[in-house]
Amino acid sequence: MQQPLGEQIRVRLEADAPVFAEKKGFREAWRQIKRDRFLYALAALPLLYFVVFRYLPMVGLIIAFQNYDPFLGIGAMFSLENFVGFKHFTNFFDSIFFWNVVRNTVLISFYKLLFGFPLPIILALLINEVRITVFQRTVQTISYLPHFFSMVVAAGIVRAMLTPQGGLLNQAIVAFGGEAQAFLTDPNLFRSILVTMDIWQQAGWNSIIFLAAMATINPEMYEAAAMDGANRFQRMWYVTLPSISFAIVIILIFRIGGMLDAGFEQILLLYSPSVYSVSDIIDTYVYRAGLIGRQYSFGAAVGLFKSVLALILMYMANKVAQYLGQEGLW
Amino acid sequence: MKLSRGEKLFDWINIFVLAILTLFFLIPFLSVVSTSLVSGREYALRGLFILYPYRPVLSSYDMLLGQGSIVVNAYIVTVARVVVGTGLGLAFTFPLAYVLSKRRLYGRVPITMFIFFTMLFHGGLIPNFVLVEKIRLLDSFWSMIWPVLINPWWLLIMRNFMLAIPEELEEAAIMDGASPLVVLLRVYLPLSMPVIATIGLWYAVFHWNQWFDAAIYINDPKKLPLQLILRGILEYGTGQYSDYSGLAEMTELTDPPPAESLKAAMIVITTLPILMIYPFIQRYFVRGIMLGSIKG
Amino acid sequence: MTTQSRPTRRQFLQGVGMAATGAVLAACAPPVAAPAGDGGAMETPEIWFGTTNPCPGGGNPERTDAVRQLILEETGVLVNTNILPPGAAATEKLNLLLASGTQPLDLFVGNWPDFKGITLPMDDLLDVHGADILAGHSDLDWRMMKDFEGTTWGYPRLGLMGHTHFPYFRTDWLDEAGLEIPDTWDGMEHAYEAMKEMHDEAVIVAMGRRHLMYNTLGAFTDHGFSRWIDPADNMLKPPELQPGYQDWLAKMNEWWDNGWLQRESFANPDYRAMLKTLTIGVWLGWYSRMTIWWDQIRRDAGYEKEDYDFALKITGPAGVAKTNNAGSNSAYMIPRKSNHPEAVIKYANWIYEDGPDDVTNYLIASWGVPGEDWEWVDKEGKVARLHSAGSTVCEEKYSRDFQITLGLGPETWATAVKLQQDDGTIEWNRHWQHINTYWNQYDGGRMPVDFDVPYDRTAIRDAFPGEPDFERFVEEESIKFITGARPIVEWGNFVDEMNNAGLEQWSELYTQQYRLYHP
Repeated sequence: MQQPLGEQIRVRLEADAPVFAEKKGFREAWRQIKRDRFLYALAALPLLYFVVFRYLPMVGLIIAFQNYDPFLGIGAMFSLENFVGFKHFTNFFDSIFFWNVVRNTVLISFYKLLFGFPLPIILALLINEVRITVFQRTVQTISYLPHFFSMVVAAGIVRAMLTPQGGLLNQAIVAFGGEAQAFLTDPNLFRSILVTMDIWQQAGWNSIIFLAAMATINPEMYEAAAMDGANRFQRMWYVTLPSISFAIVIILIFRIGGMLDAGFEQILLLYSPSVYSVSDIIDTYVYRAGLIGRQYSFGAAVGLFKSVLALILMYMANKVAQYLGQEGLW
Repeated sequence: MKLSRGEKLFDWINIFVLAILTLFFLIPFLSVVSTSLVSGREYALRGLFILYPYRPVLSSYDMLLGQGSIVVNAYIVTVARVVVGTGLGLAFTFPLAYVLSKRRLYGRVPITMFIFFTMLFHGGLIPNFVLVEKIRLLDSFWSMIWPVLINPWWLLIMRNFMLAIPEELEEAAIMDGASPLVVLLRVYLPLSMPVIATIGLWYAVFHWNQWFDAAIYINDPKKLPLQLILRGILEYGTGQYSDYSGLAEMTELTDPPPAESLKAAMIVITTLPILMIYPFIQRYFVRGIMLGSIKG
Repeated sequence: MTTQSRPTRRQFLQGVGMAATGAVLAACAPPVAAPAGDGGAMETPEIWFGTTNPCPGGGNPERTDAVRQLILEETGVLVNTNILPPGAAATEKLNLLLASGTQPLDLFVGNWPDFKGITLPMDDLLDVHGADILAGHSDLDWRMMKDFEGTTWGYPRLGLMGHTHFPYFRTDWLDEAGLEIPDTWDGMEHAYEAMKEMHDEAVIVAMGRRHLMYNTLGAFTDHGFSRWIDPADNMLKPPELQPGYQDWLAKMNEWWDNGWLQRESFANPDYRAMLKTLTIGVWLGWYSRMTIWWDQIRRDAGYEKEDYDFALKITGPAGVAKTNNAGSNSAYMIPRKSNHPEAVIKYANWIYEDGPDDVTNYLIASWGVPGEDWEWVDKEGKVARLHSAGSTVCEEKYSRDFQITLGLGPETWATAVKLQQDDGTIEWNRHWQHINTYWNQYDGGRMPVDFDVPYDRTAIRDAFPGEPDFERFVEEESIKFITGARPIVEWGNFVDEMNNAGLEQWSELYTQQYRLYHP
């Protein structure tokens, strides 16, 4: 039944296929550029921004291969003397915790993705179905309040809920005859706490983009579906969801690209030695390494490692999206 | 349209589920608001989770906002930053997103990749500082705008929204004799309002919350944004920055409001104004906006 | 950023070594506006400090200027500040300021071994202009400022501290049980048991393993919380390998199993919130949580009998339980690019000048102009009155912009000051009183074996990148032993794992630096 959209896209892709100009030679390319000069003019200034403020500073990537000290100034980045090759990378790979932090990073991100990605979509679907405008807008506004808590405060709230010394949850447990627990020190629960907290903080905020996508749906499609006798669930499933798939896919690709950022601040504020084994991630590892001295080079090396992995992940996700006939990154 | 019994049941269940969810989001916020209103005495005597203050006091707000013109000034800087940063951000993001949404564009894939690359690779703090210094933006308001002008992630999201707009609309407009600029402003701009509003909100919230760049680039106290000023007051007010905490630290606060109450007040102060933006944005989330503009 | 080619770090160091004496004299000052009415005979040196400030934008400009004028009259130095942002951003900004060198900076704070190569040696400056700074610190403080060749790289901020760790007891509960504050390990356990019997909610709270070791490890080992020389191979070893450490773990595990230790003691809970629940029977942590946080809660809530007091000295099976805090290499340093290093020392020396008995100059730098911003009520008795309350808004007061002697030294001397309140009462703040009384009382605790060695930990990490891993490993496993997640019979395996994590390298690098100071 996903036919309408899938069909639509296939048609569109086929229509696009001959447009690719590369094969038609230089002259044809020039003709096209001239035809679209308005578009290139529009793009020029924003692209200049990327050159100046995004690409120029990338010379800084070089310090990942150096023993760089900021006191030496920017000139030292170009001096051969400081080069150490892949030393910082191998230091990271040789760490006794390397596999542990990589595994934790990927697992925590994966759980956050698995549970945290669909929920904003569901929330957006539910909000979209509300017919009372005032209620709809109120729910929407309130749902994204927790996004504005700084991580310190959000972590403080979580701690206050969970502490055995008078925490709300433990008071409830004791009232029902149970025994107070130190939830945050339990390795079996720690990741679940991280994921739940993440959903609570971000679900409302993340649903906004899907609501924006739903605003672009042509109401005639709902009317047509209603004529065909589709009920509310069927309309959500066969009209709303396929119509916002373009947004779902791109956000999902981005989330996959962010897999190596598992929530540095959140974990740093909540973890402790009892749960290191399940919660120490790449970023907390780098943080500890940099606590003493100015480990700019090491930080840059690990950052680069993460970027390369993210590139690979997003490339693969994009391939899959394109294979499924979706609009991807390029 | 008359609703069937099933439809009504669905509506009620939906409202019920959302109401429960809303409580989960709302109660912690209420607790934060309440905590911001308790006195030192009340805080010391109450439990950990304060749902409503017995005797509300405004001492935390006094301490954060009563700093006179420096806070007023910081508010002005922050609002200016949000307005200019969001305005310029959208003014640069929207055209580029539009251009990249044109499938026929020669070189579209390489240009997209050129932008995509910047999502993942960053030069780090030092070269950015040197760049800002070289182009003489140090200690300038614009050091908070230009380096973070366009967010590439958001740019590509906006582009994907525009890709979903049927190309026939452009063809039809051109047939009617519209120039490319008219197509952009009369066809694509109105049709993109939901995503422009969303990305605009993201830019606004980003600029509202951002403080680190100001901490690095700006020395003049008159140009510091709100978040940085409040962070400073908070950091000292809560007395958790020093491993020694000798004489100097103690003289700053002879009778301070409790640290928790200060933290909570800071959230309220920094959250409420930005929340006010949202209702304006919601106007663009109305179903059928696309239809209306096509017909018009 | 200048484009000139830059010397390597080693060249830097060599250059510094050779220029050690010459640099000071060679530092030439660009012409600066002469003070008005001085006939322009002498240039007024203008200096800039990189400091943090409770007021992010500084205080009232007019008050600040009044203090600047007073300092100019007294010292002939024109002082200014580059206020650093709050929190972690301060370090970043300081590094960038030092790196770019385009903005003036003449003094900053940090651990001096981290900045060797970009700071000036201070020996000659101190000899010529800093007699009172030199006299204001103990030999020990100065040894922490010197590299092994004897060059001084800064003046001290934090050094050996006697006041930071004491076990605190709920006094009203002790009274209820008819007990005094204990002075032995058994007495401590007995006191807690008595509290627990009457108040089931009573817990022992440790502020993480580090502070717990400061407070208790000495009761079971010979060196307490200290690296130590293993007679077997004459190498420096981590505290965890001392004979007796296993006994300590076993005891802590016993406390844990009995439900004595609060369950989040090793999980950075919100201690302030925990203090207000009034469930803490024994506190084994950092002092200011009691002298500032608890004191505030007690006064806010109006508690009359509920209070805490500490044991000066607890003796256990192996001796004194506490270990003194060896502090750090934290120092005030002058960058090599400074144009007026002598002016910096002149000004700092002026603050030290009064000595411990009269801290007027320190208070000028902290509070402002005497008679305008504050005044002595009784100079002999060290009673002062602030004209603006502590909570006065930044805009209306001077905000210690020119205070460059925090930490030990003048700041510690100034904790003797009592404040006259608006209602005329005189109050000696509990926190100041504590620091003033105990900062140099070292006999209540053990001295760490290597308390006088200013380790260059950056160099150690350069040579042994796995050091953070090693520390995390030891911390994580030790806590497993305490909480019973790992049985103590696995100790042997733990030592093997430590070896795999780089114990030998750790030991070699620390021993190497230790031997430079203790041949």
